[in-house]
Amino acid sequence: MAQPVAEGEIGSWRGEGVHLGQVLDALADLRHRQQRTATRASVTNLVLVAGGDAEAARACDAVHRLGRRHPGRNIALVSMPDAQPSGIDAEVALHGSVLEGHPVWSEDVRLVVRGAPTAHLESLIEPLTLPDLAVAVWFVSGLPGPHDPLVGAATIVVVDGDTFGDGTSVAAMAGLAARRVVFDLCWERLRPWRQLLAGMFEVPGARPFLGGVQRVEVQGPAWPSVLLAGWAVSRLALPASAVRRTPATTPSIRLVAEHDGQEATFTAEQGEADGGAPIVRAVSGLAAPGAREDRLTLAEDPVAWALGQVLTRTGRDRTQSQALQAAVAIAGLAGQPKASERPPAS
Amino acid sequence: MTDANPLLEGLDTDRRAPPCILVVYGASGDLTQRKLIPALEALAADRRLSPAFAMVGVARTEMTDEEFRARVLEAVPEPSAAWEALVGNFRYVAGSYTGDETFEKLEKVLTELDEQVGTSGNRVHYMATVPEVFEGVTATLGRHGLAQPKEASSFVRLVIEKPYGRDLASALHLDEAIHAAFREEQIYRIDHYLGKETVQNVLALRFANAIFEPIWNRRYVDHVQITVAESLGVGHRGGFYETAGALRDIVQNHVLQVLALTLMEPPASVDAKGIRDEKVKALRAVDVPAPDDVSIEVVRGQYDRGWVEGEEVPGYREEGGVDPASRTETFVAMRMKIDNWRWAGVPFYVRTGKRLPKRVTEVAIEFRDVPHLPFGSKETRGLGPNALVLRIQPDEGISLRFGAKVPGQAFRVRSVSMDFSYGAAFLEETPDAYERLLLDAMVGDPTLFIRADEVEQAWEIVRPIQEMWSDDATPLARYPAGSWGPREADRLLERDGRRWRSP
Repeated sequence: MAQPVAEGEIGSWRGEGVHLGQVLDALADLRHRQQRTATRASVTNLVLVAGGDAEAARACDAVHRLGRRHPGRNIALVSMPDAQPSGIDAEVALHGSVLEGHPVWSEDVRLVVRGAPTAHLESLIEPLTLPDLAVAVWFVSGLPGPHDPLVGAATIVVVDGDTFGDGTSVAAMAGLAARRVVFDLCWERLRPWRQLLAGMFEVPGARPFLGGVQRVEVQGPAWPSVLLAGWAVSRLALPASAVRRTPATTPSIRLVAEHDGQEATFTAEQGEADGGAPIVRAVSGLAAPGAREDRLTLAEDPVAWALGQVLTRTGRDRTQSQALQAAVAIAGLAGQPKASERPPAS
Repeated sequence: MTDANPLLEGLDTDRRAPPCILVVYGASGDLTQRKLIPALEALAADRRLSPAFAMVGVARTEMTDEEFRARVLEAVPEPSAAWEALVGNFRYVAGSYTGDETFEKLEKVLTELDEQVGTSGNRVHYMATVPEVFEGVTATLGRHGLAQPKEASSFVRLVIEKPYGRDLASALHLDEAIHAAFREEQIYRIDHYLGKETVQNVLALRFANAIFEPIWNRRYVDHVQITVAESLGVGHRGGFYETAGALRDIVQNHVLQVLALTLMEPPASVDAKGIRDEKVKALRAVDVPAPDDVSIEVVRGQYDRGWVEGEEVPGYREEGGVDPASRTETFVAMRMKIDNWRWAGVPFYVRTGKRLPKRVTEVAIEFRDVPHLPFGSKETRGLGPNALVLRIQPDEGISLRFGAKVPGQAFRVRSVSMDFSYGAAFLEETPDAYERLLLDAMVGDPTLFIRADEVEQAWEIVRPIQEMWSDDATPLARYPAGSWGPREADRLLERDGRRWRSP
């Protein structure tokens, strides 16, 4: 695990009703005055698109908790189409951190955009991004529309399925993932469930059951449960009708399988370690030598952790795309819980 | 269990060890405790090991399975749950490294683990012992039928720690003995330097960028300096070091491996054969010094008492386990010539030593001066030649030195250094060298291991030096601990009109 970051603001600037040129001048001026001896080593541009101040603050906080794992420029766009007068308020801050002895530099640009310019956010991105680097656009509020020009400006699109999550969104998300490189933070957060459940079949006594999975039982909020179900049925080539979904506060998945007349279950579910830390525990209901139990401690800050993971990736996630396609069929089946039925978050 | 697990797809499991047993000879030793077990634990925590993984420790020390497991758990302060679960599979066999009884017990344990854990007959034998027993262990493995897989679908591999022999003759002898039981493709010779991320980055820098390779030759490069410096002394390894010395311990392996990566031609593909073929070709191009040239081209030294990092430290001859009249070298500097089209006429200066001012490993490419400098000497007083420095450790990165105008009315040009630090750009955790190499051995990727012909060529390069030094009664050059080596090392470059960098 990377060591904690010592960090601080090196310099900042703010202005109301500004032009983008002033923001760029401010950035250059701050760098020139404050960091003339520092060489910047950037790997990405991260753009956050939020619908309000609170949302933007939460997302920026996650980026900061990321431990400045992805040095570069972070641009937060707060889009307020109905606010007047039209214009842009800007804040620019330079941060210097030391991570495991290495100086790491990053720049935060926060733009509150009111009125007409909110329809042209992509025109703000191009001048602000560092050249030649990937542009990750994180739609903090939800799924972008099919013709959102910001999607076109993005090298990778980041969303968090927990912010949307009904059947309509599954189809829209699957469509977007078919066209663009999209990473869902919720899908990433489910990695420990997927990893541990897959590991249950890595012992010889359990492997034959993989070909005999009859039922996929998922629990949890609407989006993670449909994703887990979509993942299992797409990987195991099962019909959507093999899925049973039940609302719950935390995600879990159980595969019910048969082999040689014997039935066994393989489960991955959220729990608590002795000290109370959240964990994912997986267990196979088999006798030795197929029996196995494993657990993983979940990240303290799952959003920041998931963001850190997706920002290291560049290519399309084929497994996610296939899970989404399967999820469309699962979410479309009658009798399944809808987003409105989701239980309150824990 | 050969069918793929479709649930693993998309989970970054392309580099995941298959079910196997790691048999560690020398399991009660320092290397196992300090390096191998922490590396295995990290792999387990990263879910790189199969749940059907087991380790069998073999050593002379009497120990039960439970005691061995307790020792394994002690080696890692906060082990992951995945590691704790795997340690339950671990077994221990006590006995002589060449005794039939030991290997009969071992065979029985391996068979039991195949049945209980599902390790599928796959074995990686790891020699973490003193080199004297390599030959005996491999011969006994062969005699007991443990050196070859019982089924075509399983594998048996052998990992050997350096040193591979003490000289060319003993290395050839060792290879012959090992090849009596194992085929070359089963043998994984470790030089942990190659497991370092930044050593591999030399390949990335050279062959993934269009801008460096065109100038990576005699037309643009004036000379190259390779420094492998340690600030530590021999510590508790005095007895071992007396039999090794810097030439065997560092130059013959680490230095020549770094040199080969710097010299080599672009491989057709970055796979085991492509890389290792080119490294061997590069090593073959190194001009083996004639015996008469050794005293001119090579400097050996030994450290005296001095100050390192603010502490007074003893001289080599005062260290524990060291002969007070020792002639073992703790420092080597060499001027090497390369006989090929790319590098003809470009000297490679290498130096390595203990008790130097700081721990640093770097390759510095110093470029030729511009053909015509359109400035006066006064304007370019602060200008040095361009240099590209690949820092391998610590603070891994790249520095480029170039000339820039000093701001102001006058036209003055001076050298500036642009630094790139891997740590400041990529903050992902870097796997430890042993973590990488152990996984490679289990996965079956020999790219970062050394092939027999590489070892032989490396010994061939140092052979005349060993021969000359074995008969040479000339006093060793002395250097105070905390300095960059003896004065003679400076003269090696001064006579070419150059000087060592200050890394």
